[in-house]
Amino acid sequence: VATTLTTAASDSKWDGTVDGYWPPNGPLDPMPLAYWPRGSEPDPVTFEVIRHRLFRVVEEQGLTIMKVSGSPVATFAHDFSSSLLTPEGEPVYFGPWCQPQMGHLDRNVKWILTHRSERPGIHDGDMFLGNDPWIGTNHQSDINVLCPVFVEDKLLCWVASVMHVSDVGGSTPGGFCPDARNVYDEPMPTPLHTYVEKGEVRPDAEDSLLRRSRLPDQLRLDVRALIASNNVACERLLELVKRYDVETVAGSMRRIIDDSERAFKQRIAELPDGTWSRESYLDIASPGDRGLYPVKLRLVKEGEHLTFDHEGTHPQIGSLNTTAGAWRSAVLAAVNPLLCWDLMYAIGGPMRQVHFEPVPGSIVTASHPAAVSNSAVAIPLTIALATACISKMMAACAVPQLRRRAMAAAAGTYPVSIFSGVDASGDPFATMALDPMGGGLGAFSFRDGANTGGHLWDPVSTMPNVEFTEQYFPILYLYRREATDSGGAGYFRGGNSGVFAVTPHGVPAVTVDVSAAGWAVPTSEGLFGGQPGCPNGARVAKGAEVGAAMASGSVPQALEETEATISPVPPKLRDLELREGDIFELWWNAGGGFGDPLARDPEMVVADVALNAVSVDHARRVYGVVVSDGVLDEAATKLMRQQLGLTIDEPHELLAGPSRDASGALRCPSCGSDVGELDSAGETQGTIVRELPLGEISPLAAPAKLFVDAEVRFRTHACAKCGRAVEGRVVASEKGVD
Amino acid sequence: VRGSVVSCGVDIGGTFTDCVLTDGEGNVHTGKSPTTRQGLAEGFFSAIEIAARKAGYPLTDALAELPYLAHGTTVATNIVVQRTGARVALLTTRGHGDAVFIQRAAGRVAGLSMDELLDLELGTKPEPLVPRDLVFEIDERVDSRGNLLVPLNEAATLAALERATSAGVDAIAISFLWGFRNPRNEQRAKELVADHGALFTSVSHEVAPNWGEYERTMTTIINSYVGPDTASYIDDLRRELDERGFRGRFSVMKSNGGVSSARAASRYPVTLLFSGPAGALAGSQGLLDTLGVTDGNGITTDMGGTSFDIGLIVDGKPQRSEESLAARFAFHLPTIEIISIGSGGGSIAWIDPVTGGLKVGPRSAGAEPGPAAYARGGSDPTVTDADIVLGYINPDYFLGGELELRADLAEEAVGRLGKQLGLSMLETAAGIRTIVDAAMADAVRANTVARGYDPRIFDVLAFGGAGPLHAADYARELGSLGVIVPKADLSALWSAMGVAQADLVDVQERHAMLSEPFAAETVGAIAEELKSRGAELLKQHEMPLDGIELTVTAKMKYRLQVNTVDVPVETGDRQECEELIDRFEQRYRELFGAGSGHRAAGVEITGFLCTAVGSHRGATATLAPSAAPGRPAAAEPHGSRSVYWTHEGAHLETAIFRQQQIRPGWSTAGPAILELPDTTITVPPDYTVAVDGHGSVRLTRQANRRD
Repeated sequence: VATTLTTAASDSKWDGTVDGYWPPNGPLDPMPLAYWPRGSEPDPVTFEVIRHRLFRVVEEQGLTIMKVSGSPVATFAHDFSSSLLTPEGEPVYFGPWCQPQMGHLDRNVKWILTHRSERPGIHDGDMFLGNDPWIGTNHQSDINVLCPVFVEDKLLCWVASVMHVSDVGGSTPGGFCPDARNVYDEPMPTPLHTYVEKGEVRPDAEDSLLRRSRLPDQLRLDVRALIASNNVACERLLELVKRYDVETVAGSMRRIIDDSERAFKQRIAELPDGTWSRESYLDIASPGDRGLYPVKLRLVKEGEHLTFDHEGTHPQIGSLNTTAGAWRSAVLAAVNPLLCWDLMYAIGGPMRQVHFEPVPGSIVTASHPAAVSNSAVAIPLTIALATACISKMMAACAVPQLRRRAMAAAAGTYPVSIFSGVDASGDPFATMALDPMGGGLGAFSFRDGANTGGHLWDPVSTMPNVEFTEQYFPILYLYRREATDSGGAGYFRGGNSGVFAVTPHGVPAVTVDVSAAGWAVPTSEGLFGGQPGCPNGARVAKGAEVGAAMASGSVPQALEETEATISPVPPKLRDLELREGDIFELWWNAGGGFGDPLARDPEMVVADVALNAVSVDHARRVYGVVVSDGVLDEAATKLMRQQLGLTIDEPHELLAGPSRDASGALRCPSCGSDVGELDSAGETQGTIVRELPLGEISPLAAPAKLFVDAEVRFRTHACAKCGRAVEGRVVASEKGVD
Repeated sequence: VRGSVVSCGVDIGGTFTDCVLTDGEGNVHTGKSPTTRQGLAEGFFSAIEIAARKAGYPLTDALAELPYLAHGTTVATNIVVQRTGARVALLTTRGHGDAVFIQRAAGRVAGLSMDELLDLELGTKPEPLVPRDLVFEIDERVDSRGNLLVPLNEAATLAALERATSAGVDAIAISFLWGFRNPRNEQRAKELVADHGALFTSVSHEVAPNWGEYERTMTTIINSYVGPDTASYIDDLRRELDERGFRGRFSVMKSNGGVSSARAASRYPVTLLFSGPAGALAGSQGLLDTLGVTDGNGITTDMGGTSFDIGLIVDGKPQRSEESLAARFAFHLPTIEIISIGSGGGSIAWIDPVTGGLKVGPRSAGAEPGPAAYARGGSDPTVTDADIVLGYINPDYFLGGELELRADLAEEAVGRLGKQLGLSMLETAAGIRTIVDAAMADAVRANTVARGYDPRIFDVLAFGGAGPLHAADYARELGSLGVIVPKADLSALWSAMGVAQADLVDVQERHAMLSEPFAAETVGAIAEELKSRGAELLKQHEMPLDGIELTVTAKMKYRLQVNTVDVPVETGDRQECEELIDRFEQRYRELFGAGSGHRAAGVEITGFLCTAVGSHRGATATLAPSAAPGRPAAAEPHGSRSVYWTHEGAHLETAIFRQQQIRPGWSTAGPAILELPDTTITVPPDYTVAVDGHGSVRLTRQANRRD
């Protein structure tokens, strides 16, 4: 397979020193170690038995991480991974865990083979540990441990595990550093090195890792969990080799990849060739900044290949960045559930067909020494952009089963907020709010997005009970609920996200650090006129006197219920002091909508209002549906929808998005008019453009002007004949955009 | 000739209602009748009638004489699965009413199998059991230490009750944050509900006094959801038994592996959910004791038509779990742990259109249309069809000849699939069997090896219609000691047998949050209190007891880690409190691996569990030797046929034995097939088989054979 990197690679070394490590596709030639080649072709029955067992091995490997670590991050946030790779580094299976952590591991293998084969060598019983984002990990808090599996002195495969550990240093507890100027202000990245030597942990390596951490005991345990999980996988694989034989096992691994490649090619062949792109913005590069920075993704589909590039993305800046490897891994995390849902995490084959054209030095391909610890910003955003590009490609497909699966983006940025301080017994504590694990998912072409349904990138996203958090940390939740009006409006509505409010409890104060983005601009956009899910946001109410309210019989249920001064909390903030009685409220981004909300079945809106998923006001304003006393006012609804731009009062339509007719013309999903051609940015000729301020469509959005200089609006392109929106996106005025 | 009837177990399953009736000599008579979905009682009495007739009784006489009747029922399970339960209103803490809708986010994928997880189309949350307009948030608050921060707003509670009643609710669930730490607000709310009117009411600190508001609240809701209908089912049955002259004691099977008086069960009907498999495990536990042939470690495997259920008995005790799923809702309840995967006789073999590989299950042909050989219109090849093609199942003697199977249809279905794969019919059948056996072994492995238990020191106990047909193959794959088919003639009615044998069991939970060093006065007082309460609970069943066993365990964990380990507590005195940490650490190492504990973080106790077991005469008067003493064991097989043994990869002439040949003391070497009326046992060439005095069949693998 040819590398598509030639143009970009010519002026960059891509060797992991300055620019991210980006080796050519295909195996190293020559392979520096003896390994088991393809081996014999297993019969179909033995293959199925081995295939099933191999997946179970990867699953058990991951469960071992959770079991041994026992940390809340592993158990609840599922922020870990396990994977099995061929000797050359092709993934056989990703584990069913945090998907974007695993798209680095193939390159980790290649890097180890290239840099560690001669000295210190790669031996049976060795494991290599690293957390260098330029070699391949999402950020320094994600530690990768890779273990070569040898049979008779020849490499059979690699097993690898990854975990987001509690703390590896840096300016802020937890290692997301909102004010980092460059990587030297952050946890120190370490290239992959021999951590376990011939079966024993190297004490020098362990000591130098633990020395950086605020929580060395927890870190030791987390790393031990990764080692234990690799050991379990090794043991199981060797049992399998004993039960069958090494060549059959080696052959089965390669067949899993080949099968998934063939299946992926067939699927891709059914999709139309074309180019789809999506753009969004990240806000505020560092505390005090007021900028908005574009991030773009483009997908070119040609034959059996997908190629992604990020042309138009802003140069690396402040603490918004991530490395090229993480960008690629993030794209793959969208490819996997959207295009490979039935391949059971065998993504090695599809990876052969997915190409990338990175250019160094951008927000998503940052060069050393950019600050990259806050990658929970650019990685989910890339996943959201990839979701949009892939979904637009799927929606243009003639095969109904594929077209049907197009979905709007979900939760494009994770609002990292860390609570720290000293608890009632005088012990220091630090914890990241895991509540945003309950993300709102994007709407499908055939149904609403799941409310607080988790994330696209982790199949089993889980948030802890309130009682868990209150038990271990000195905070009290006033409320934690699904956020009304948070999901992007649409013909199908995006899933609602959530909101919580806490106050210090039993201690005089708690410190809050916020390292996030997606405050001024929503990062989970809708599709085909569907509106974006709400942005992230946070507020603080100083002097809210929660204690006094409770003494008089109630727990405040809104910041406005108190006498306190309410202030917005910016997305990058260190050392916010929350005193006794103060309230900190945080909400997180919801799923995007699909199709024009003005075409949504009014009765579905009435049902949403009854469930408090949508407010009466929002129903009227964005859906044009008038609900009075819980009942649909048909006449008023008709009038309202006309006022909002729908000119033809068409009957309820099945199609959520535009379709192509036999001649290839793009048709309005309601009236069938030719709406012209959507260009790569999703704008068309034969449409009317409407613009609305963000606050109009997203009541939870704090006014953008609080944080950035640019003006943020939602722009739709509506069918010139019937007024139905066929495309829409968030746009920022040029002013202030760097 | 009739003796006296001494105990009876009736288990209502999805397809059949099974009855085992034991007489004074310890002979067991069985009755099997189709489950009557419209009125479960009909099948209930019909199964008893069949068994009674075999014992030489008309139904009325048997009922009049019977001192003890235990019942396992799917009524509560059906209510949840079919969503036909009560209209429930939830009273909960203001600000936290959404917990049951958020479902900790994982509700979107709860209950999906690993290969379904990535498919976003399948990931939807279940329709809530309590609609949003019946969730009432009340001003009140307790904190994590049990401090009462805001007392219950009684006016708001009454107003909510008014609205709930006018909305026509049948039942109430009360669950407040930290209600189990300090139940005052919950208790007061319960009083207000009681004053308001006679509604079925469940309160979280009583139903599930445990940490974690989502699961605790769901348990409380489910209890109320199944409550009114389950209670009236039990009442109706009790009344009908009464009318038909039954004067004995009546008990109901719970998912904790024990039985309960009907009255106590009506109060906490959530404890009846999924009690059928628990009955089977309870029976197996008793059997391991009775047989005395193992050191008490058993993997129970129940392979039916659509699913394969796994349970574990470790050191004579069934493994418990505290969290289960019902209709995709997570709930908290100490139960016998049963893990289920979609492998069964009806599992369909298919070709993965994506990869072209051969796959088996999880889709099942079920009972309708069933395997191709059933000739009920099913054309997909299933595991049962493969077993027929290979010669394991005798199509003329399935279910003792009651159901005639069409071997030609099985061959046709398997052959058709084989053609698409380029395999012969035989290769395809052998492949289907090998794949399903490997998948079952993988599932057992995932629940033993992966959790710190070595299957090589376990026996595999096999029951259910298809378990004994496959057990030797998956036991070999696991390297287990051997296979036991308990009381082989009853194997297919094993749940009913277990129900009849089960002891009274009451499990109490008690939340506590204690940090080391543990104070003897606290731990001791809790242990003491739990035990005396346990003894009291057993008394409330009003059954004569032969013995009481009270066990208290502390739930312990390292402070910053999530995994908990149950550590036994005897008296909780000072010396024991000092030893607790060592015991905990040792157990933690065994289960989670050396070096996995974070000692420096400190050790804490998060709660206690007390299991009170009352043995009673009803349950102990069974299990006589299954043959008349002194009768010689017949040695001559019933016949023989050619069977394709997948492990050997060859057709071998195989001896066939029937019930009358396999008497206690009988043994032979494989290959052999034992065709019993309700089940078929395969003895591969590398196994020997022997029958013990109770009629249990034991298969032992010859270690020196090829592996």
